[in-house]
Formats: sequence, structure tokens, C-alpha cells
Amino acid sequence: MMALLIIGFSSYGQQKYTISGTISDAVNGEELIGAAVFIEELGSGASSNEYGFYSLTVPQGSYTLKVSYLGYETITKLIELDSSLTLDFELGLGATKLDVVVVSSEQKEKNVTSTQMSVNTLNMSEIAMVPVLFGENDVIKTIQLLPGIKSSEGGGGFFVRGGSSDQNLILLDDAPVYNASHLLGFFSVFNSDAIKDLTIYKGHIPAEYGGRASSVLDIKMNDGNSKKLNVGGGIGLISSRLTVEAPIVKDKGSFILSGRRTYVDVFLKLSQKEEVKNSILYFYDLNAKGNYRLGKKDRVFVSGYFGRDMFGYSDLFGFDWGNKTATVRWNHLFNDKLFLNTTALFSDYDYDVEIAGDEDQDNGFVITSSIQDLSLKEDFEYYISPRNTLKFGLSAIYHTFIPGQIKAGQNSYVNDVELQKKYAWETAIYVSEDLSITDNLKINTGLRYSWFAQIGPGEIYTYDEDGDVIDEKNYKSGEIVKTYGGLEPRLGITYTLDEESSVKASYGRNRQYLHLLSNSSTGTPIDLWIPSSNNVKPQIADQYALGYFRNFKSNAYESSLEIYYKDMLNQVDYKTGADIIFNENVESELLFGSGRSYGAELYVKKKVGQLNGWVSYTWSKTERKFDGIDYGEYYPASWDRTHDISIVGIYQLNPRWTFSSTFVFRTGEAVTYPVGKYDIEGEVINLYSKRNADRYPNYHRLDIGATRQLKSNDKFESSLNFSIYNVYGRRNAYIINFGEDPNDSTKTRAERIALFSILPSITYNFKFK
Amino acid sequence: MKALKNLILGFLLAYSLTGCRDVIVLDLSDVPPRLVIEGVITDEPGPYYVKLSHSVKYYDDNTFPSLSNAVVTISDDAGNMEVLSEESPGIYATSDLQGVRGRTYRLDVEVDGEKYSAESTLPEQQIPLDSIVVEFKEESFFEDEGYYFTIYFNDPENVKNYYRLLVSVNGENFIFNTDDEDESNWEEDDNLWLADDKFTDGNLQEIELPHNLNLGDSLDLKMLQVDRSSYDYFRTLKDVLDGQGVAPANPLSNFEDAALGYFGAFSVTKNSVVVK
Repeated sequence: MMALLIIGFSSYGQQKYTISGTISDAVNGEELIGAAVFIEELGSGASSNEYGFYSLTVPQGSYTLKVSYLGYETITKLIELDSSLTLDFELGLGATKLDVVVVSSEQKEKNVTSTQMSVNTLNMSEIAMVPVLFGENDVIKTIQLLPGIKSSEGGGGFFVRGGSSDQNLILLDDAPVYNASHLLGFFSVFNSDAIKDLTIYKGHIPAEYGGRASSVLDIKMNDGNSKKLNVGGGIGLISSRLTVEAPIVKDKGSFILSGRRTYVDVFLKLSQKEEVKNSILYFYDLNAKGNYRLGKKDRVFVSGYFGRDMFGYSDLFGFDWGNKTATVRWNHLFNDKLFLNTTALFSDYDYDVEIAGDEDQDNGFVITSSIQDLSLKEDFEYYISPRNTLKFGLSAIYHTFIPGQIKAGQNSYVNDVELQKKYAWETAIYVSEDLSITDNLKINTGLRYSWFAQIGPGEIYTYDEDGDVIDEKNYKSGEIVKTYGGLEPRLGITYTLDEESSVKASYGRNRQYLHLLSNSSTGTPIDLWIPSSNNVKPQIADQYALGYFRNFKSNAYESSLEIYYKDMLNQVDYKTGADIIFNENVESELLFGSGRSYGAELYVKKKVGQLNGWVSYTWSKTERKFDGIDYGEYYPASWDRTHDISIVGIYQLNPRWTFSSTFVFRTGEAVTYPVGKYDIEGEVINLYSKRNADRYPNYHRLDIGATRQLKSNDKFESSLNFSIYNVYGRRNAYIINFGEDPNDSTKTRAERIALFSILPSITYNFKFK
Repeated sequence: MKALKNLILGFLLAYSLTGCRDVIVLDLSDVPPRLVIEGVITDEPGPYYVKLSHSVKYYDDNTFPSLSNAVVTISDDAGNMEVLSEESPGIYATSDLQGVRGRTYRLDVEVDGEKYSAESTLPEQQIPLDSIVVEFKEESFFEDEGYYFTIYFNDPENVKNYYRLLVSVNGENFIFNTDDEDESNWEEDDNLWLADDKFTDGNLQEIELPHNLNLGDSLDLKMLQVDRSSYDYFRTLKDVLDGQGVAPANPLSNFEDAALGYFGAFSVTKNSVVVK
């Protein structure tokens, strides 16, 4: 690391100056993330960071500067560099979207040249075009179409390169989101209208991120239009959306407010059945963000998310759950090379179950559970030269876990019960350097040190292998019960073969101190997050990846082939027959084991032209090994999918019509089918053998969509979106139940439940400008 | 949780109109037949029975071969022991043995030179099933209109207790009306009504059951007080029947992996009522 720094600093020669500034959208003032600034004469450049900021330090001279971003017109500017310059750029959209964007051939494409591999970025215009269930654009559903990211039908979780669904760090404006699902996973909590950009890291996770073993999904909210007031929204089959954005002071600050509410329960009112009629079932999301420039060097952002699922039946029963997040950020430029981002974060996930008694309400009870984070981060970016960027920083999170408490009414037959709250600190420091050693060789070295402490107060139990208590000790508030910590090295190497191709290799270690306990493979609102503790060790994942990146036809097509191997330690699973409901000793019901995953991912994407889209194919194998399961032999994880193919096509016929379609095929999920049956008390009981030794039938589905732009003018535009989910009505198994044949009690049978056969939907979108 | 899942699932199925259920035939692997042991001893007068049978392939008929000529022995920690005699094929019965509360019992089965054994403790204190209260209820989200019953009994304090309730209506297992037009889809009561005192230790227990009764029905209840290992067996047996859990697995048996089934020593109390 130090050696590399010295190489970085030692390339001094003539006088150097810095060009820096921000790159934004000319129409709405939103900063563009990852826009390219390229100096033709030097053949090198930089790209803007997540705040649209760029910085380039180069020798004195006359240069041709090109600023470009996919889908926008490129700006070319001649500059005479004899002192440091601040240059802000506002890029306009291509005259019509139909124009084939010319990608200059001398501009090396980032996917080939950057040291980052195993990463995918999607912009919202792509996500908006992909046909989806009920016409609800959904970032989580869309990333599942990328290579190496697996899904399950109806499940809100996703699985990256063999990692379980709790191994994904999902960030909304840097705040962790602990449960990204609505309605048991059929929708995600991310309202597309409020989102600017998302990046998913599947491997070689940059050193500034940590805390999860498999991936980081980094979602940035829109900053709001800083030029003028905009009101947009949509009316769909099951939900409506409304977004208001406007400048606070033109070009200095702006805000955005975006809301979404589903009205599933409106349809319930139509039901003849009293029990359905009186049911409540909906969810809503609110996103808000504001930003303000305090001068040339400082900018503040405040953003928040609040969303909830509501389910209930008149006054008798209520069940609601949801996330709250808040982010306060302060960007500060020390000088034209050193950028600091200070962030304070809050995140909370909780659920409530209310069970009312009879008419007198005091014999009911309420169950609540939550996880809460408070956190502070300092992130520095130091743009030493176009060939060398340094990032370093630190973070601290204070976790509070409320596993469950029951508050009973006076006359309730249930006692008040409170499972012990748990507390923990999670801290980290990191440094990483992106360095071009030669014109062809680039290296990214990162080192992160994380430290975790489980702290009191509390009565802390220690269990033996059978789950029996062998020790009990009382800890005072703030007293350290157990600490863990360690280095997390990250390394990425890129060797550029020619203008359009490169090979990359990476290694990364990630430590994860929180674990999600779930009694369902798809995830439920009552899944429980627990900290590492005296009984539960942190998960550790080591990933090795190798890739070949190649672009074709002047970068109109990009493609990559990656292979990876991942080792996972201290994985957590429930014991067979674990008693998981409201158990103070839940840690005694756990098994600890290891996992391994390997695979190959092929990705071809066409980015420009009338027809664009991508094809991704993944071959992979994911296995787990636990002493208490299958006699300690490796078995397939339920999310193991041997083959996984996604094809996404978007075709813009003319300025009015755009068509799109998605095809997915994947090996069925690994499940345990019965291998026989036997009789207990006259009941037929299924006999099971090896865990996950069978497969659901292969899953495949075709979705199509079309968007019609309606008449628009300077003040108003609108469109209609039509889509059909599962066009050919494939009966993909959601669940297969094994039980007695109702028509013949001497037989047993297998019954498949399939969801969403051919499902059309329509959405109307509008925008007042 | 299951109710919520079912409601949402039901809604989605209804909404998507064409969502469906159908019967499929799968290529299932099979294993050699496995021994199933069901053995029970109680504090009621004997005889007590042990049933031995074998598992069959999933797509075979529901007839389970019984196992004869095994050596079946029950013994207790007070030095009593009895070899059971085979009364009918696969059914072995005691003749003199009497279950006593507080004693730990052991069942030994020897078949073709293979030995299987399990232990269970008959709970020390008998807990009477105090009362059954029947009341009429209007139709609501949870229930159809009809007569429902709640049972009450006192749970002793500072002891972990585990209960299983067996319900018989007019001398038969109850059939639950699942609102399915096809009566063959109605569900027969599996009588795995389980309760423990984790949240209710030392309280008057109030357990409401979902059986919808008619006027004139006679209701016979049997409450088994069981030990932890039997409770775990019934609990995980219920998981298997309900198709719950992350990955299905065989119930936790006190024969471990050696045999399927269980051996349980139970304290039994009874109560009856006629709906009027």
C-alpha cells in the first residue's frame, strides 16, 4: 500500500494544475453520477463522483476537454490551462431520444478500463422500460435480471453469487434498509420516482463499504429539480404515485417529495365476503430530500424515507411493518482535490402485531420488535492526479435490537414478556487507492479494518453445542460482552489489452456482524436480525474473481465474462425443529456452518440505438455445510440455481412508441421433496431424507410492455404504459404441497400452486413542468 | 403468520384471476422402508400399546406394512419391566404394567438383531382439565357463526409444562369446513392442539379452539401432559403436516435418527360437555 502511494506521488515533473467542478443535467439540475471528463491530448480523464464532482490534475498546457454521459449531448471545450480552474458543466439531452448517440472511439469505456469489476449500474430510464408485475417499476426486480443475482418468485430477497439474502447491504442514501420488501416481497420499498441511480457491487466491494458478506446495493435518491417546479406522477392498477420537486433557491438548492400508496384494499371492498371486505391491506412509501449549497465549497443534503405495510381486520387484528431512514450529509471541498463527505444516519425497521380481545380492549395484547441504527461516517476523496485517486474514512454504527416484547392488556391471559434488548457498536476505518501504474495496468488496493462489540446491559447466556446454558453473566450498561474485529483487504487489478478490451482480477474479504434469522426461504416481516455475540461469530466471506471485458463497435456493445469463487464462514441456520417464536434463547437454536459458491457470468449489453438491452447468463453452484444437517455433508442452498438466463430488449419504434420485453429462465430452486410416507396415529406423514436434494421445475417467463407517449408540450407531458406479465401463462411453481389426495384417501399427491398467470396491467404517467 | 400469508396469497390468486393450483406428478426418489415406532404409556390403567410399522414409497397406496415378531420391552426407573405380547400384527400390548407419575420409562425394541430405544418421563403432577365453556359467536373474520369452546385449567408456577389436547365430537374426529365447495377438501382435525406455558406460566390457562359446534353435540376432551421430548415431537410433527419450516425434515424423535415415531409417557385428564 505505502509503496503504491509513493509511486503515486513520485510522478512529478512540470507544473500541474487542477480542473474541477460539477457535472449536472441542464434541464433539472440533477448532478450526473459517473459522467466522463476526458482530455483528448492526454488520452486520460476522470469521472464524476456520486455528487457530480470531478477533479483532474494535469500538466500545464492547451487541451480539448470532452464531457459526456450516455444519452446526453457531449460538450467539447478548448481550455488553456495555466492556473487551476473550476468548470461546471450542464449537459443537455440528445435532441430526440431516437438519435443514435455517437460514442467517441477514443474515449475508453469505463467498464473496460476501471479497476472495478463485478459491478452493475442501472439508470432509471432503463428500469422504467422493463416490463414488471402490475406495472410497478421496481429496482429490486430489475437488478435480478443481471448476471450473478438470483431471485425467487414472490420473494423480496435476492441472492448475490451464492450469498444468502441477509448478506446484501442495501443502502438508500447511505442508510441501511433492513427489510426491502412490501407485501411479502412482491414489491420492493423503493419508489422508482424518487430514485436517481443504483449500483450493485457483487464482488470486489470498494473499501468504503462494509458490514455485509456478499454485496452492496447502493441506491441514491433524486436531489430534486433545482431549475423549476415539477409535478409528476402515475396512476396504476394497484398504486398511485405523486412527486413534487422544485428549487429552494434556483441553482442553489432544491427539494423533492415523492409518495406512493397502493390501494389493494379498494378491491377488497368489492368482495362479497365480509371477512375480506373488512380487511385492510396496503402499503405506502414517502421519500423526501432537500439540498442546499452553502457557497462554492459546501453543500448540505437531508433525506428521509418512511414506508409501511398495513394489514388488519377491523379492530380485532392489526399487523404493520416498515422502515424509516434519515440521512444528513455535508459535502465539503477543502480544495479542488480534496473532497469530504460527512454523513449522519438513522435507520429503523419494526413491526407491530396487535391482537384485540373482545369488546373490552384490555384483554388484548401487542407484540413489537425492531432494529435501529445510529451512525456517523467521514469519507474523504483525494484526487491526486488523473492516475491516482485516494479514498479514506471511518464510520461508527450503534445498533439497538429489540427482538420482541409483548404488552398485554390488564385482563389478558397473556403475561407481559420482553425479550432482552441487545446493543452493539460496529466501527471501521478504511483507505483505498486507485492507481494507474502504466498506461495498461491499473490497480485498486483497499484495506478496511472493522471492529464490533456486543455491549450490555443484559443477562448474557453461553450455550453448549446442545443448546443448554453453561454460563450466565450480568453486564452493566455499555460494558463490553464480546468483541470481534479484523482486516478486510480488497484488491482489484485491470490490465487493458487494447482500446476495447481488458482482463481484470480481484480479491475481497468481507466481514458481517449481523445475521438475519428467517423461518422462510422467501423472507417475512417477522424475520429477526441478531448481532454477533458470545455465541454467534461474525460471517466472513472471501471472494476471488477473474474477468474478461470487451466492447464492440465503438463501445456500442459491452460484454464481460467473469468467473468467481467464494468461501463463506460462520453461516447461520436454524436447527431442525428449532423453536423460534419469541425465544429468549434463540441463539441456542442455531447451527453454524460454512458455504461455498462458484460460477461463471456472461453479460452482453447494447447501450445505444433504437434497440437496446442486455443478455445475461449465469452458471453457478452454491452449497452449504452444517454439522447438524445431512451428517455434515455439503448440500445445495435453496437459492442455488445452476442456470440463470435473462434477456431484456427495449425497442424505440418512433418518438411515440417504445416496446420492451423480458425473458427469464432459471433452474428451479433446491427443495426437499418427500422420499416416502408413513403412518402416525392414522395420519399420513411425509418422510424426508436429504436437505434440498430435489428441484422445483425450471422457471421461465416472458413479459412484454409498451409505452405510448401522449401529446405533450412545454408545460405537460404524459404517457401510457401497458404490460403483460407471464405472456404465455407458464405455471411456475410458487409452492408444491404434498398431501392426501382429496378424491382418493388411499393416495397422496403433489399439488402445485402457481401465481400470476397472464397478468395485464396499465399505468398512466404524467408530468407538469 | 400463516394466516397472513394465506390471505395475501389468496388475494393475489384471486386478483391474478388465472393463478392456479394443479396436480403434478413428480419423479421422487425413494429410500428403503424405515421402521416406525409409536409407543405410549400413561397414568391411566393399562394395557398400553406399541405399534410397529414400515414406511412406503410416496406414490404407493396408504397402506403401511406392520412389523411382527419384534421383542418389545417397557421398563421404568423403579426396576419394573415387562415384555409386550403381540396382540395383532404389529400391535404389542402390556398386561400388568401400570404407569406412575414421576417415573421415567424406557421402550426397547429389537428387530432382526437391530436395537432401538427411547425414554420419556411421566410428568409428576396431574393437572385437571377444570372447565369447558361453550359460547355462541357471530360470524367474524376468524370464524363462521356457531358454538365454540374454550378450556380452562391452572398451570402450576415455576414448572415448565407442555400440553396436548385431543378433541372428539360425537365420538369422532372433527371435520373443519374450509369454505371449499368440495367437501372432500375439508380438513380432518389432526388433534395436534399443543400448548406450553412459556408466556403464561402459573396463570389460569385459557385456550380457545376453532371447532365450530352445533346444538346437541357432545364434546369429549382429553388433555395429555407430556414431557419436553414428546412436546418437541408433536410440535415438529405438526410442522411436517402443515408444511412449515425453512426446509422440511422429519420430526424430532426420541429414537433420534434410528427410527421414526416416538415413545411418550403422558399424564391424562378428561372432561366432557354437551352443547346446549
